[in-house]
Amino acid sequence: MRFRTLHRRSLGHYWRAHLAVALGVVAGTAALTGALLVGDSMRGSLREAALGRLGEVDYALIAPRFFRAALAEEIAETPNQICPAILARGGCTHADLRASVERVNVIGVDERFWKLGETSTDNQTMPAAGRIVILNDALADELRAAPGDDILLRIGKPGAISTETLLGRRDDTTLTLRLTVHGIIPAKGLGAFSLNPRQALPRNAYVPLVTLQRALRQPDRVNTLLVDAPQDAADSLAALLKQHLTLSDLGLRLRVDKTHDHIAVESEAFLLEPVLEDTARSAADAINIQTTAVLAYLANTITVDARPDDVIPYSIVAAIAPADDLLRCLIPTDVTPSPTLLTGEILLNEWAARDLQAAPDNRIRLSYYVMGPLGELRTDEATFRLSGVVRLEGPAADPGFTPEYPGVTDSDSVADWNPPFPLDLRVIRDKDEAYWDRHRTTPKAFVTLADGQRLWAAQPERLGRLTSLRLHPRPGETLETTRATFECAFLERLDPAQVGLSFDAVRRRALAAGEGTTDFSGLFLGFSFFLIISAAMLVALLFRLGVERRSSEVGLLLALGFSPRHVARLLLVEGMMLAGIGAAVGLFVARGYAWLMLAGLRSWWAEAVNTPFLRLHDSPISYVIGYCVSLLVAAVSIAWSLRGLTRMPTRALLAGAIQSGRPTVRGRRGTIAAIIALVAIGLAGLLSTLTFVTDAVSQSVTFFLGGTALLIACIAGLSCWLSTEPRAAVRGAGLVALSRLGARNARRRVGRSVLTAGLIAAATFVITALQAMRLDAPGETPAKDSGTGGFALLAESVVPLPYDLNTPAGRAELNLTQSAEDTLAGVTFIPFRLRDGDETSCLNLYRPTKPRVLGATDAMIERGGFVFSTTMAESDDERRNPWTLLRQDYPDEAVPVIADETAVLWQLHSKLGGELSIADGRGRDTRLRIVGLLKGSVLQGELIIAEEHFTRLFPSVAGHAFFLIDAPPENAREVEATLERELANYSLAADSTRRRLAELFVVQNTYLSTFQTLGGLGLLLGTIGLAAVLLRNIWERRGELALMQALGFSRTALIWLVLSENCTLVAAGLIAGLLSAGLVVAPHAASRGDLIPWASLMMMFVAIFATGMLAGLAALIPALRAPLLPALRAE
Amino acid sequence: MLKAESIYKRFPTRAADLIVLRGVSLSLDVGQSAVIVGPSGSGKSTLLNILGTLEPPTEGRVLLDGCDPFSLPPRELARFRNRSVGFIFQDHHLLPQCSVLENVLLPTLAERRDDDPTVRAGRLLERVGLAERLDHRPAELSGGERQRVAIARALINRPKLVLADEPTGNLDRGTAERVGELLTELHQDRDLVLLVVTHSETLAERFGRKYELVDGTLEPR
Repeated sequence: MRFRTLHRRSLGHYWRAHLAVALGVVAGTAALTGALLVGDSMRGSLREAALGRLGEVDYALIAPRFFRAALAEEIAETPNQICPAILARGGCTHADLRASVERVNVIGVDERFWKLGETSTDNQTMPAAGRIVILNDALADELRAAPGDDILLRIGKPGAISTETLLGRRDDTTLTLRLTVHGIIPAKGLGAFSLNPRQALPRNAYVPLVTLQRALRQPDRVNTLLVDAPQDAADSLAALLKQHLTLSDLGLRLRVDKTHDHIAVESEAFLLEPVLEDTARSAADAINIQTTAVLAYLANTITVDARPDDVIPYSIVAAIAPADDLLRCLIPTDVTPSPTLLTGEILLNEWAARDLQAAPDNRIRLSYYVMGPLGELRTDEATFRLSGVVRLEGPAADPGFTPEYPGVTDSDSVADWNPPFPLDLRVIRDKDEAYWDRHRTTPKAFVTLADGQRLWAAQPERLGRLTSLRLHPRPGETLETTRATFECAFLERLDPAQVGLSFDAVRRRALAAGEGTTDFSGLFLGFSFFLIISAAMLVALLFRLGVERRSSEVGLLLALGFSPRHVARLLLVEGMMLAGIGAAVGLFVARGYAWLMLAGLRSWWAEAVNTPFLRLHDSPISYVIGYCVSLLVAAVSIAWSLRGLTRMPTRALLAGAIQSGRPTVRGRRGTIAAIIALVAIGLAGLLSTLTFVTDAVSQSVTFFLGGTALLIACIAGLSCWLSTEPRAAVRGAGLVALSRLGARNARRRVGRSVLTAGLIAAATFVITALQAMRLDAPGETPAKDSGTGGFALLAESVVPLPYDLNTPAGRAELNLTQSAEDTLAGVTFIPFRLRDGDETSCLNLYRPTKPRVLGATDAMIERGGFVFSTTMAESDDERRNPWTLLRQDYPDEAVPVIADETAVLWQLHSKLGGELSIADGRGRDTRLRIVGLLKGSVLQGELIIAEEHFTRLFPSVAGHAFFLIDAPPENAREVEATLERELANYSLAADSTRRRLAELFVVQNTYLSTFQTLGGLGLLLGTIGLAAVLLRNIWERRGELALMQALGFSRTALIWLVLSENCTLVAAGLIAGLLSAGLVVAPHAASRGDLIPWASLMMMFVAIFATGMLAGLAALIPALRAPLLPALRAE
Repeated sequence: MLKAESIYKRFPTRAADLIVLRGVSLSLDVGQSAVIVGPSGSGKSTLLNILGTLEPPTEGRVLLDGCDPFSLPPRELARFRNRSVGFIFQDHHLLPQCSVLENVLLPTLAERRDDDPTVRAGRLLERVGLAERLDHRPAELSGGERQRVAIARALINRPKLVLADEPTGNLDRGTAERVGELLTELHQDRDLVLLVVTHSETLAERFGRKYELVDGTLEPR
């Protein structure tokens, strides 16, 4: 005989009781390990999908400009290592069915792209050219397109010249291609190619590279390189890029002017980007050559202030620095033998001076166009003192001051100009045409560069401040030598990343993003916590019940000389053997449970994760952790269940007694319970203080820990109450008296009653707390201080709108029809600049590695609106309108940002005052400081900064592509339809803010439903515990019940009696759970009382109560159906 | 060898303390046996539990082989009880999950010993007439057989004191006779003190010394 024999015998003999305990452990292990597996699966699936969509692509260079496609071959170390491509966003419409899809990924590729695929389905054959397109099935399904159908693909047209400058072609920013569907491929592998991880399937349209290049007028040029390279290839790729980069790739040209003996550094963008200008100056300094900076601009009129009727129309004015160099070269006329050119002074050429009959010291007035931030043109004026007149020869006769501008510089006459701004041909005189014929763009006036930049370089640091930089060869050096030396020095000094040419480690980014925004293991563990605790309580309860049936065995062992500790250890080992078996089985069940959860997330709760690709991934470590922790929890539960048992008098145990009836014990239990309750309340209070006063603890921690503490406090309070001796006898008669007696019976086995009520309380807590957190969609009328900000609609365009939708002029430029004009009357648009990227809303499960950023205009900042959860406002003005915080300039250069509280907490894992690091348009790390948190807002997916900061960080983003629209609610649908119809070229998609908010709420509510299911499982455990306790109580009291029957109580009366006890326990658990949940969600309820679904909350209470009562009834009726009188005889 | 000196036992109640034993003294030498009779509630079982070290006296002292077990720490007290005291209860308290042999061997699990108790258990079971029933479960035995297993279990650790609390209380007359006979025979075979508490006059007649517990005091009969 050995202990293990005894254990084996006991396990076998009491298998029914043990099975129940083991099943409790199975439930706990399944919940715990299942939660870990759900986390593994979410991470694994996200990573798998993100990596699958990259094919073999490890790095990608996505440039804000087009560059030579040949760069791919030059950089590649092996054939097919680098694939040149054009990536663009656009919209798509079925040519016949008119079904439209926006936010389509347009991918211009050749056969090299398909070689980057990892699977056989990626081996596509696509004609190298032709007006064809391959769609992935996600897009084709939405378009209802089939092979052979025609589709209209709308994309933004790349313009070298910013649409925010005078010469940018704002009326030609979109392109529509009619293409025939060549094939439809499955949306997996390269068929779902996407560099930005998103769980929603990308809508991809694959167009032959050559076709797209032709359509975009970018022959042999691309904006993307896709690279298959080892993970550590970043440095070598950067070095190779720098080595092979040419000026052409930067949109730069060096124009050699032999006539005037200089080289002009000019840009296709017309204005030299500041980075390129700085690099050019630095290179020139390094090779010791002199430079002249030029800003050429168009003056609409030049007049002498005193004679406004004499006008020279449309003349080039050159702003020069250093002016002295120019003066040295220019040939003065006799009128001004030694002219100066200082600030506020102007030189006219002799043609202009003669035409205006201008004399030295005349005030010369220039009028010119200036572009506003929303594309609006206005005419400004400036006056100068005429300091001299120069001959129209030598450097003054140089049309090269103005870089080439197709449509103007290559026109035969002024009348043929095709500029992107209004031109009044009526004012052009014959002599102006004659001047054009002879001198083309030769400037008629010169001013200092400082004056020119002050007047005409609206955003010098962003859009540029020079039209050319002239290089003057060193004495004795040829132009060609200078050109070669300069180009070499320039490229050597250029950091390609500064102009947006850098390789993005997309695979590493996908892996990081695949970690997800939310730790699903933690989340499921958190919400399974109460389920696990319920399982632990059930294990303790069932084990205790089992052991209590064996109390005489315990007494015997003590009588035979086993020490109490020895006996306890014997039982504990037995329990641990059970737990070991239960936990092992639980691991298998956990796999099924996780599979079921994922199936739920794919189907019933699909709205929470919005992704169909979830599949089970499991890691051994999760099983090990799940097993060990479950075993530990079970050990603690079983050890706790045994407490006090071996301290009972042996004699009592031998007689089958299971609890001390001594009042001192009850009193001590009550005291301990009271102390526990007070400590738990204190802990909950401390957590609340730390959370809501000092912000030292996160709200989620407070929810779980505070909730647990309150639950413990309530249950301990219940224990305290049950431990007190009732003072008065049960009085009355009939059902009322029986109910009282039943309620009093709940005090007989305090431990059991507390555990049972605790099980119900835990489930009630989870279910009702989550129910209270559900959000109802806002009302029909959007309020300014609500999650919609008072806007009825929001809209986003793939191609930024270059004109102001708020003005009739802007709408006219956008070619809106009269009926649209009528519909939009009274509608206000608040535009935002948009740097597209990863959404930070709960619709995106991937960790945002490149978050979307909005630039809020002054109009938005001044208007204000939305509800702020908390802000860093210090002054009254800031408190009144926290949007003004966006204008702050921090000494440490951090940029103030406003974001939605949910996004910050759950997606970005930060808080108010926290900092986010993002890469700006030049690849530099920039810190965004969170100055305000929006509550329940429609802007959940966005980080919002002030436009002034936005344009500094993302200089290449032109125009506004995101809009909040203040429209009358009754008119909102019509406005939405009108905008989508009229602005289809810009692929604008509008949506109701209420609908968008509801979509966001659905995600949150669906998560809550998921976790409520866990609460439901807890309730199931609770009802099992309740039934077990009830059965045990009836079994123990059969004699008593038989006696009552003998005394004349009917069976119904006995059912009522026992049911009253059950009702007391259920009600106690319900109240404890409700109280804890109520206190935990109180701050939430206070802040959004109007959104709390009270009706469904009430229904939930009733459902829980009914479940508890039904469980009791189900256990009770069969138990009481058995004959009771034999029990009386046994007594 | 067994000496009880002025044993008092009080139990606290809502009213005044309930005094069950009032200065009970008793002395028995090795090889002696005694029986205690008395009406229900007179404190017979309480006295037996105190002598068996299952519960301490409120006052007074118990000495077994000159050792006061209640002066021992709990673990030592349990070891003392395991080595020195054998119990026979009215309800045999056999473990239903264990066989006859395993039930007899149960006390040997409390402490590791060098010898193999299985042979001894076999002999004891042979002695009580259950050699053929070693692998049977308690549920497969009659009431008398179960009590005989309990007697064998009480003797497995060669105790110095065997205490029997109504050992025939649940048995029919014939079976009770045989169990009483077995008890006296086993006592005669061994150097131990046997103290029996019973209502049964027939059983009481079998033992040398008789005591009656009346109103908490022990009086020879």
